[in-house]
Amino acid sequence: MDGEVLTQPLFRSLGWTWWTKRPSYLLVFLRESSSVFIAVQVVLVLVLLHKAGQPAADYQAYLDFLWNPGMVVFHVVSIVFALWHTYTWFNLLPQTVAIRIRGRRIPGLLLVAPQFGGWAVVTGLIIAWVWWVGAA
Amino acid sequence: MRGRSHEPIFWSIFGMGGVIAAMFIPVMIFVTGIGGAAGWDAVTGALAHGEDGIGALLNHAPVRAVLGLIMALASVHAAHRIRHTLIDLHVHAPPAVLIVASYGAAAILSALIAIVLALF
Repeated sequence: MDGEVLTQPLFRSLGWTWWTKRPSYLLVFLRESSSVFIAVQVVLVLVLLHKAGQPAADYQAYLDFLWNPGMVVFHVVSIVFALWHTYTWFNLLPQTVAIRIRGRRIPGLLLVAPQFGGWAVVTGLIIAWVWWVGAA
Repeated sequence: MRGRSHEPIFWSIFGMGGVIAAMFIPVMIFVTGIGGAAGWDAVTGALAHGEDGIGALLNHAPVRAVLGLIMALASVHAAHRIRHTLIDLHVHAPPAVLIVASYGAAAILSALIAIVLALF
C-alpha cells in the first residue's frame, strides 16, 4: 500500500535489481511476490470447485494431484507468502489512517492488534466450520 | 504521469482485495492444500466428493456468493500488484498492454469463478 506509489520512482532509479540492494527492499519484493502465490492458489481452488461438479473419479484425481508431496511443498511456500501479505497488510494501517483522540494520535498497536484478533477469529471459525462439516 | 484517471478505481478494489486476501487466503490454502494432504480426516471428509462433503460446504447460495467475492477480489488484488511489480522490475511494455493483461486476466478469472459457483 505505502510502497505502491511512494517507492516506485526510487525502485526505478535503482535499476531492476533494486530488491537486492537492501534487506528491507527484499522484504518489500517478497511482499509484492505474495500476489503471484495468491493468484495461483485462487486458480487451484477454482479448478477444485469445477472438479467437484464432475464425476467422483475426476475429482479424486485432482485431489491426488493437489495433495501430492511436491504440491504440498508449494502450498506450504504459498501459505508463508500469504501470511507475509497478511502481516504486512495489517501493519500498513497506521501509515494510512491517523485517528486522533483529544488531539493525540492513537498508538499504531491499537489499529494493528484488532486486525490480527479479527484474523484469528475468522480463521478459527472457518476451520471449525470445515471440521464440523467434515466430521458429520 | 501514469494512469492518473484510472488509478484510484483500481486502487480501491486493490485495497479491498488486500484486506480480503489478508483475512481469508491463508485459511483457504490451509483447508484446500494442506489439511487434507496432512491426512486430517475432518478436512478430507469436508472436501470429499458429493453431498456429505464439499457439497455440504457449498450448498448454501450465500456461502458460494461470499466465496466467489473473496476469490474475485483476491484476483484483482493480485493482478494490481503483479502489474506494479512488473513495472518496478523494469519490464518494458506499453502501460495499456500491462493494464489490459493484468486486469483482463483478473476479470476473466472472476467471470470463471462466478460461472463455476453459479452452476455448482
